[in-house]
Amino acid sequence: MSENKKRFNLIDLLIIVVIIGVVFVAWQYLSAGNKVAEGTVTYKINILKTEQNVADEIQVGDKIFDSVKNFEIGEVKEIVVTDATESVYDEVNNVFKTVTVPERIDILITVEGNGKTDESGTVVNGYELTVGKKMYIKGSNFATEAIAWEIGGGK
Amino acid sequence: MKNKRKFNVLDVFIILFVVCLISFLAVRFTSIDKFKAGEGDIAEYEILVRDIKAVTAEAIPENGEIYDDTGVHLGTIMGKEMRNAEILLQTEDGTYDIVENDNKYDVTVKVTVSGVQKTEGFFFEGKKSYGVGSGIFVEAGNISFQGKVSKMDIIKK
Repeated sequence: MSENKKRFNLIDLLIIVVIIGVVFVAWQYLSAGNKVAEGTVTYKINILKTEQNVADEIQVGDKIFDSVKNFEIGEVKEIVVTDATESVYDEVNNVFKTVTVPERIDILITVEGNGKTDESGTVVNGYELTVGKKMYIKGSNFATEAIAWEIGGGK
Repeated sequence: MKNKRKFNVLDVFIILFVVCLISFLAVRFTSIDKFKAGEGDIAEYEILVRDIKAVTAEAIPENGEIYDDTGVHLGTIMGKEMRNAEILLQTEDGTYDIVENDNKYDVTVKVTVSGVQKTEGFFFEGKKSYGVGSGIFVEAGNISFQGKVSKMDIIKK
């Protein structure tokens, strides 16, 4: 009588690891944007050295979305537009100084979204937010890069 | 001789994997609005291409269909405007001046396309969104170029 016992081998192990990896990535991808809201988080994002035509498309009350995964990360509460500035080296006087960049503006946007801030960080609607993070955002008629500028004001 | 196959842990993982894959694809593709070319909303938009050589500026067509690098239809070119490039020039003292460079050109390409307007943006072919400020890679016949969407007007149907 021959036994036909299947043994667990290296290939099986590799298949399991790949499956676990794919499932984990898919779960991460799909779960972002679907987290249960635990309160509100207010934060500021800055669109640096952009042009007036972008500012013209952003209004208080607009929804802001992560343009990579396409889910909402809050609502615009305030917009402050200032001339863009840059720290430059003045070769003539051998000093660094701050100058205005012509025809470029910074747009500081206060956003309020569903989420929470605690000792482990800030999460807005499943989106992990850290000061200095480069964000790819969009609204109904604009899309641009921005920097997470300030986080605070959670309830 | 008995040759009974037993349902083992590997089978469970494979079934789980297939179920997850199907769920993922279902969520991914059913969330996209069904869209047919020529239907939906209309976007009249402009792509600004900065600081390019005359040969490139002249090669950008004044009509015809354009696509992005993933094959998404970006619309029909309705015209283009060429002018001397305006560049930000940094002087020795660090300040910026805007100067015209008559050896280079800024080109505004005017495009019309149908798509779907949602709160999340205007979706070309119902699946990829661009808006004012978006960087955009364009393939137009024998030429490809990069620019930024500088203006977009939506005509909702």
